[in-house]
Amino acid sequence: MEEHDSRLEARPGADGPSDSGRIRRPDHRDDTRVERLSAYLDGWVTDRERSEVEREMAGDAAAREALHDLRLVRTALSNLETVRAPRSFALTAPPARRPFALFRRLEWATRGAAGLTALAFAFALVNGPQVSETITTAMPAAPVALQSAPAPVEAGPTSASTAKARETATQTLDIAPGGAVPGTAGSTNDTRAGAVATAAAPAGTPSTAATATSPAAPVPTVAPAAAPATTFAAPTPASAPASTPVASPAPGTSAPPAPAPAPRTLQASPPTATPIVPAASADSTPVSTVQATRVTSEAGAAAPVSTPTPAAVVPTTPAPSTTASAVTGGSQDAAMPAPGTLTPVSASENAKTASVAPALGVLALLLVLLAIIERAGARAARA
Amino acid sequence: MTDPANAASGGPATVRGATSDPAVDALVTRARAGDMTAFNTLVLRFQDGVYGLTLRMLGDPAAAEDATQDAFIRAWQRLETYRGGSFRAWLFTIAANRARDELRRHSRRPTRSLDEARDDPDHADIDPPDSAPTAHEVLEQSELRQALEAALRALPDDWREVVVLADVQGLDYVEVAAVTGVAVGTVKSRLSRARGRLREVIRNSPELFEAAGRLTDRR
Repeated sequence: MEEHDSRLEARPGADGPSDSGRIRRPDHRDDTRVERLSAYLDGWVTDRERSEVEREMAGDAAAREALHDLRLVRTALSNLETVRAPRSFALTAPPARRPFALFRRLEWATRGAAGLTALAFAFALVNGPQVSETITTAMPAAPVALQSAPAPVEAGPTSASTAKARETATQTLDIAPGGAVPGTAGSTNDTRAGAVATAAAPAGTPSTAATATSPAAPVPTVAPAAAPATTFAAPTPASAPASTPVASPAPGTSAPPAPAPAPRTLQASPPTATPIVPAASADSTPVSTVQATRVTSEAGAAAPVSTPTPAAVVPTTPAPSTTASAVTGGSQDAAMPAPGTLTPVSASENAKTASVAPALGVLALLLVLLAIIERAGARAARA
Repeated sequence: MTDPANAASGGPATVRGATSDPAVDALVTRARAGDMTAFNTLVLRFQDGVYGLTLRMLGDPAAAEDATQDAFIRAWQRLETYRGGSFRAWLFTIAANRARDELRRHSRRPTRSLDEARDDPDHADIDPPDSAPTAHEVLEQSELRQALEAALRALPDDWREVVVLADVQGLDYVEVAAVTGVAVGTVKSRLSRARGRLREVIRNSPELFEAAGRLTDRR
């Protein structure tokens, strides 16, 4: 009450209406003081701050005046009309609770799963470096497979692999029965070409019909949807680059005869050329067609390649077969490795790792898409 | 008045209304179990406050009705998220969020005074404060209310929300901070600025100042 009275006396406009509009706009210093006084008014200050405010008010009439004004404002506001609801807002029927909560939970679960899958995908990529290499090197190899194949050849992207894969393939071939492995049965010139062995396994059924194992085997499975029938070919040593795939004679003609053509081929392969990987493990490609192709020099030179890219070859590849077949072309013999004659070694493990990566990537994308859909559903439920 | 524990950390001296009401909590428990009657009891108990908040935030009775109804529907749907404390503040949080969404959606500014709403026979929803003032006092109190309502509408949205919650609805700083989703320090700052702006309005008119003074004296 005392503050009120003193405030009335000190109010600039108390003596006349003409002064009522001359209130000085508060500056930053005033803002700070008003803020402190406002908090003091609400009791929202520490003991130290309260002491400071009280000390300030004791010696500053303006501080007392400001505090009084703030009290007036607060009282006036608290005395504003009580707003009465125009009607009852009671709910007549219980709104559904579940959809929103369900969508929210699903959304978070999906987000978590997508994140984990993405991590697993990255892990698989890091631990499966053969994938990219195989993809890049498989391109130029395809023509060779085509060269070796007869007109309706079931040729596909020739798989290539890392040095480790090559060694693995070589070892695999070495341990294979001589007559079953392309090249091992080859004689002096090893001029068999286009011994295309198509070994496909039904989905989910790892095939034992693979004649050789290569880490490159999983490569075609990177895009299972795009190439349902994955073809692995064992090209001649010096497969022509993709830029010059046509009529590229198989340099295998210069390759010395060797009991094990695979290592020989590897040695003869230029760095940029696709090395021969005689075969691929079908167990890493549940739905795939594995071809082991050997190209003779004659056939390689004679058979022009009309389709230089594996992509163009893919459509010609029949649907994944559940049988193993041998397609010979040119002068190649039908020396198709007998299914199961070779035992996959370490390459199969790599192949599995590499084949998991794309699946994880696709799964992560699907989960992200699902999360987006669930988000939209949650918003719709909320609305 | 000052809590030493809070004072040491610069916190509030007291927390008004932060404690939960056992009767309200019992109703909430029943409502969580699916008792619609219990929930509607809560609705009838708090609907005036919720509607008043949305009306002052939005300035449009129709929009405030929609926001209030939506707030109660959401409250029913999210009863599981209520973790105790002031149920009214929890309801205000939902209602204020809904009103803020509406403001953002339409960049709406309060355009209709509460006096207009009171004069509207369809929205005769404002009760004058019950007291026994003289006719002159009624007039000047009415003028004061109009001036304050107009000043409230002129405030920035975030200032208005804070000052309505704190001074009109009577929430404490912590509750206001919870409702608005900002820090207590921000609440303190916005509240003081809003009060400072309203103080200018009162001081610009001797009549309003005297009316506010009499109002304070009566209380």
